[in-house]
Amino acid sequence: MVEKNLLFVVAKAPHGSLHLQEYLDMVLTAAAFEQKVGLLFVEDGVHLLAGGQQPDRIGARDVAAVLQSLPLYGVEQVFVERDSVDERAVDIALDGISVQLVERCRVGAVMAGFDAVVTC
Amino acid sequence: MCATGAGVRLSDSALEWGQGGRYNLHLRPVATTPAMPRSPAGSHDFNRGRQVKFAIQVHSSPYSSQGSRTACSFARAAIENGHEVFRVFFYFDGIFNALGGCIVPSDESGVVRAWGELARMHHIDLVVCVSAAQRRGLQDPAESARQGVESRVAEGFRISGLGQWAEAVIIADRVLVFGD
Repeated sequence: MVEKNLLFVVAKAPHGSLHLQEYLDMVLTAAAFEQKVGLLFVEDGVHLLAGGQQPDRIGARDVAAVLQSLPLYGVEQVFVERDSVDERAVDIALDGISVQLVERCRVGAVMAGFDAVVTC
Repeated sequence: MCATGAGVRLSDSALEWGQGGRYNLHLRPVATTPAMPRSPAGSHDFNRGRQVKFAIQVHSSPYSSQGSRTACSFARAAIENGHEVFRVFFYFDGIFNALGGCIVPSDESGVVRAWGELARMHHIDLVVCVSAAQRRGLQDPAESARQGVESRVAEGFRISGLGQWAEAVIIADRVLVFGD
C-alpha cells in the first residue's frame, strides 16, 4: 500500500461541537490504513491538550482520551504551536506523548513536510 | 549566471551554447502559478496538461455555507479540464448534501441536485460517511428498508465508511477539503 504523510490540523476547541470527535475518527482511520500521520494543534485546538477536563459533566465524550492511544496507532509526530498555547495560557498536560513545540512562523515549514494537509 | 523575467528562467548552460553570435535559449517556466500547490513528487503539472486525480472532501452543509457549492463547481471544472475526480467524500455536516427531498425556492438552484447531476453525467463516486450520517438521522437505504421507511438518501450518493475516504486520499494526487 502507498504510504503517505498526512497532517491533520486541530484548530477547534473540543466540546463546543462534535467536530473534534469526528475529526479524530478520521485521524485514527488514516493511521489504521498504515499512513504516516502527523497532528498539529493550533488556535483553539490547543484546548484539547489542557489537563483536568470533565466533559462528562456536560454530557460530552472524553475526546482527549484518544490522545493516549496515539502511540498505539503509530502516530508519533505531534506538533503544538507555541504561540497559540501562550495566547490562551493553556496548561498542556500530555502524559506519555512527546510533542514538538513549533513557533507560528514555522507552521508553514511543518506543513511543507507532508504530502497532504487535512483540515477540519 | 541566470536571468529571470516574466516567469521564465534561462538555464545556466543555455548561455554557454551561444558561441557564434546566436544564443540557443532553453526556456524553462518557473513558478507560473504560485497559488497552485506543488506536488511533492513533482510528477504532476497542471500547466502541462497532465491529468490530475483529485480526492475531494466536503465538510459543510449545503445551504449554511458556500463550501459545498464551491466543491461542486471545482469538481465540474476539474472534469471539464480533463482531470479526474476519484471520489467526493461527505463528512461532518457535509452529509446533509446527501439529504434528498430538499425543496428550494424556484429562483435558486439546489446544490443537492447539482451533485446528483454531476454524478450522473460523469460517474463520480459520491460517498457519505455512515457514522456521521446516522448520527444526523440519515440512514443507509438498507437500514431504512429494515425499518420500513423511505430512504432519504438523494440520487447519486452512496453511504459507506471512512475507509473509502482513506482509500481516496491514498490514491489521489491531490486532496482538497471544502468547508469547515
